[in-house]
Amino acid sequence: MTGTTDLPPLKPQDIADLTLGQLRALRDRYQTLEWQESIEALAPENQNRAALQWMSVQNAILKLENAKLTSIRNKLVRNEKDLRKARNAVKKTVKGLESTTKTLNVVGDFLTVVGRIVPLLMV
Amino acid sequence: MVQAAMVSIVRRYFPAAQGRVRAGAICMIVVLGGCADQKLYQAAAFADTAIVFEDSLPAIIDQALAVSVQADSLQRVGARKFLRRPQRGPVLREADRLLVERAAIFEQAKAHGVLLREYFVAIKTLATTEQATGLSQSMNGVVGRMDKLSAQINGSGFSAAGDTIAKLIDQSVNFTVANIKAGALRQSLDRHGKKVDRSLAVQHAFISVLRKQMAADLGNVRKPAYRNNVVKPFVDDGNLPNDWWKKRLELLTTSPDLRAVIAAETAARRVRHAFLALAVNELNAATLGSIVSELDNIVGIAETVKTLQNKEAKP
Repeated sequence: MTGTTDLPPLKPQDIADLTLGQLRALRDRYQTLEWQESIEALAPENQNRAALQWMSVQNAILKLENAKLTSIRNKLVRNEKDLRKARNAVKKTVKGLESTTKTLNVVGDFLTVVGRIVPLLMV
Repeated sequence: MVQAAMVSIVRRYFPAAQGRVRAGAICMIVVLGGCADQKLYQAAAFADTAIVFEDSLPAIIDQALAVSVQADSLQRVGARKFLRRPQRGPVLREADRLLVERAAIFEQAKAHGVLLREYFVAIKTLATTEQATGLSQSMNGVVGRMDKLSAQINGSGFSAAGDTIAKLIDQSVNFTVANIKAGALRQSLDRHGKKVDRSLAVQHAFISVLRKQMAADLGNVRKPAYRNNVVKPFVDDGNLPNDWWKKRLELLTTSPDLRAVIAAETAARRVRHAFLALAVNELNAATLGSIVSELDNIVGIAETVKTLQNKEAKP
């Protein structure tokens, strides 16, 4: 008994989502009037440092977002082989219908030949 | 009433769409009316709807990339004046590298959409295939030849039997063709349904991530616009512009870009549900109708975005 509520451990993806949320909130702050005014009031050295930090925040957002998109992209790519198989199988079935048509045509042609032979046999 | 509404939704969509949407609409109306080989019509209608959905995705993905670049540019431009000259090049290069990486991911997602589309086209071909029409004609041809053959054989018994067979086959040709196709469709759904469903589920997840990223990017992009057009004029002395409240309303409500991706997310979920329903033989007109209305929504929003972009482009 620790006396505290046991929370389930965070998964790496949850941590990434939380971090992304914090970074986005920080980026939103950079667009406020207050922040714009406060950066203008800084010494040039600190203005430069703040700007570089801002760029690092934006880069981190892009990297985390890309990582998330990449993980889904990988799942999409993993499914592509199966999807191709499914598409080809349906196409094959359609081809199968086509060959049934051809077979029926051959049967029809054969019957025509039989039709010509039968009267000869009956003479 | 429902049929009329559905027809009007689809008709509204027709001018921007191609012939296959018309075919889909016709199928859907037939589904509503109820017909003998309903399963095939439903499959064709579903495939048509899913094809239109897959066709609408590239524009939404492109728009998401445009918003990403817009949001990123806003950050780079805002920080630029505080960056030293030698720092600017590397900052821009790193940003470009990350955005190019994103563009490549988006292209792969589009390619996956093309693959899903091809599967739906194959399903549609199976359900409405002309080969099947050929099959019907061939069967009729065989019947005709049997008839001729029987006439050439002496003995009325055979001839009469031939006539009866001919009539029976003639009547059941369409039924048989429908059954062959329905059987092939069932087999395909049984065999590959899970795999296709998995792809649709991942595609839905991808669009959900796009929606979240787009919401964050647009929220950020709109902040300076809100600050300059709403907060600043209000805080400053002097009269407010006449359209001040309109700007405020526009910037406080969901942007058309975001509404388009939200509609796409909903449509992706519904396409997946409709596919599952088709696989278990429970697809109904209401399910298809809800996708059509979502697609109609996407097209409507896309038109609004285009109009807004055209307005912005005009000097």
